[in-house]
Amino acid sequence: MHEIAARTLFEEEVQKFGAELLEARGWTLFAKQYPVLDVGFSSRDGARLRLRLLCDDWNDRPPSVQFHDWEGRPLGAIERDPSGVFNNSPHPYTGQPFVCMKGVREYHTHPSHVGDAWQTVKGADRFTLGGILTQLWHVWRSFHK
Amino acid sequence: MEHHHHEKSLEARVVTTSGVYPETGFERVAEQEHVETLLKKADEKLHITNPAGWIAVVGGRKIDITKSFHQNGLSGRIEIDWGPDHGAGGHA
Repeated sequence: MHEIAARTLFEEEVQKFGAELLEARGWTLFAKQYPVLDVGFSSRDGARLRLRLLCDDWNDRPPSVQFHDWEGRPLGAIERDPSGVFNNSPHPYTGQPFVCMKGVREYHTHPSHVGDAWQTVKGADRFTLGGILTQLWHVWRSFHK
Repeated sequence: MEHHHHEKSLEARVVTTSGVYPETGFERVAEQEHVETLLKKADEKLHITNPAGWIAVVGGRKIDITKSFHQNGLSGRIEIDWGPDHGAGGHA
């Protein structure tokens, strides 16, 4: 996708993340400048997680998701959730823990899932930037209330 | 003695990553109204075309959108978080 089109779509989506949403979900928006969407999750149990979504070529490609600590440093290890979405093993291409969930670049490029094409879900309401973030938030909330 | 029957109502708003419904404040709805009726209004206003597989959460509790606000034990002023449920792991 042309960069201007990718940037425009990115900005259209993230500008809808209003104060009510951030407050209701305990989200902190660290950055929303194309191609980076940097969002922190906070829970009542005091846990926090920061996800950095690299959204270059959105939405021809799904976002690449990195785990960061609250200060913005990449995490070399993460809590693995029971469903296996937060995968602590090194991704074959990045060598880092990764998100193993449809809609995330590291899933679609993993040798186990290369047959599960992003193009088949691209554009669906579940797979907007907000939809993907919401799915990840629910994963995280399943073990941090 | 004259008896006045007032249908109970509550105030609700729907919060999504596509925006908030209503845009400002809260919408007054009957407690007997089904939750999905309000969500359909939100979908139309916020241009959400296919909310299949989405869940509604109030105060950290998942609610049944096919039931009424009353049946879900909701009253007063509420905020419904509406969005896709968590994705499944790929077991890579």
